[in-house]
Amino acid sequence: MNAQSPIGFSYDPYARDVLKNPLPYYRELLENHPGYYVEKYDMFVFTRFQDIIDVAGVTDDNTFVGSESTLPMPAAITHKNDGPPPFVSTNPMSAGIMLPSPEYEEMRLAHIKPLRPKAVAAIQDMVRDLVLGRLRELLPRGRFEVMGEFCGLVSAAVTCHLFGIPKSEAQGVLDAVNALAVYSDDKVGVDTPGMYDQLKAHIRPAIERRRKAGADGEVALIDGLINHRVKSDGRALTDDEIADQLVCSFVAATETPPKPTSQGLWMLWQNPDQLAEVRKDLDANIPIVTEEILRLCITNQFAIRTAHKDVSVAGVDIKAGQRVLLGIYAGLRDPREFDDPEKFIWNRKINRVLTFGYGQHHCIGNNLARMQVRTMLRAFLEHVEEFEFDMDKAVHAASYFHWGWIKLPVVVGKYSI
Amino acid sequence: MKIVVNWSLCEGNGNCEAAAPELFQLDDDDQLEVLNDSPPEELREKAEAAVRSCPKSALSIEE
Ligand code: HEM
Ligand code: SF4
Repeated sequence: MNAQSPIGFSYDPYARDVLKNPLPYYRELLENHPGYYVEKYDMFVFTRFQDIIDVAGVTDDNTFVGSESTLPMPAAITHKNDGPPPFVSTNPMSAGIMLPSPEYEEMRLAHIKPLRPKAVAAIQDMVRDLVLGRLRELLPRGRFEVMGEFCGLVSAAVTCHLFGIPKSEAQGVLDAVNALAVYSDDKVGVDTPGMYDQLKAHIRPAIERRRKAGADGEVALIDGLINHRVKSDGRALTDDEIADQLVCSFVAATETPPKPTSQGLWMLWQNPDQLAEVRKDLDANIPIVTEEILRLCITNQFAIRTAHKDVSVAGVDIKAGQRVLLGIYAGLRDPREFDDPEKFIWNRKINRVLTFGYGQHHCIGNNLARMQVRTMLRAFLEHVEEFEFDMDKAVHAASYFHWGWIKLPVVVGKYSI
Repeated sequence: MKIVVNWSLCEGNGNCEAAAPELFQLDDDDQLEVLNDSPPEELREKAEAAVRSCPKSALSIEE
């Protein structure tokens, strides 16, 4: 069945109204329009939890590829493809998110080592020290901005660690990433090619530094790619090719953990009874509340793929060249998966996680993200007894990429550190 | 029941270990080890939970 756009409802993920508040659209899509077809982009939109798993779970044979980017600017997908578009180049190696298999997996596995569970656990103490350092500086001020000044600088310092960049450059890293995420009425999207150029200017010196240092594995994210030999022809990757594999992690590691952390604190502040429950036993409860925060307080909206083969999935016949949108943010609010889905319930039973996507592109940084969110929440709640958000000064972003608060000022009462 | 790992998909993120520690374990290098690939019937539920928990869809059960 190919769902047709019914009269009276239309959804365009890039439309201004949707960017301002996608929630009513998601509710309608979830309830009445599985596999909703958007003519303008020749694209099917999936919002139901199971449908997203089913579509993203098609991981064989390059059926779905990020060949037109997984977060394209709208202008990049307004043409109809006549059959499957070409795959991107693998020599030179294109940006990781766009690669087909087997190069996609090959590039990921070449730099995943520092992001695996035990490697992440090994840097938890360092992250806790960073967090405490930030709190020591910020709490005496009595008032600060949680997203950037607290969480943002912690995550940027973690990015520095991952890339072998001196931690003193954390503010510069944060500013560089934030500069790309500034939205205005005439700029709805992330200009991905432009973003790659700007960020690679930060990443390339880090790669050069690792080459000079001998790439002995200490900065495994970069060293793994320097030491990698491409399976098909045995060649080494150039600095530019390496940078292209790392831009996504550079941005995500810097800007994504702060979002659920600060919005989660905001959510707890709005639900004082739940906050009191969580505070009763932080050791036991932080991992639990983190899962609900990661369900309801993330800001990334969706990811897109292009079909390179005809496929029938989640009740829709998809032709090669058509696109699919995986509506992750909506899926996390699917009543078929969660009772009373829009309600924050700190200890609700969560059977399946969709926060980090599913299948081939599943978030490479999921362990690091979880650890950071837990560590920041834990330290904040441990050391701050009273806090209040100043929502008059808070700033909300309208964007298809991230939708949610980007500035959350907090006023601190009683604290100890 | 036989547990099959698609090794070209597995990324060693350990979700399966959390769901079924009797069956899966990450070694010191975060590489997945299957502790028992032909588990007894009473572990079926756990094995199925592990399959569901794998975000890379790298696990399956052959009857
Ligand atoms: C709470 C924080 C985070 C959330 C909610 C999140 C969410 C996601 C999601 C939903 C995807 C899948 C995108 C798709 O299907 O196209 C993804 C992919 C990815 N994430 Fe994360 N992420 C987070 C933190 C991180 C961190 C800390 C890193 C740092 C290493 C990271 C690096 C990546 C990369 C490299 C990809 C793969 C992109 C691709 O191959 O298409 N993420 N993330
Ligand atoms: S959950 Fe899947 S990807 Fe992760 S270690 Fe287990 S089998 Fe591998």
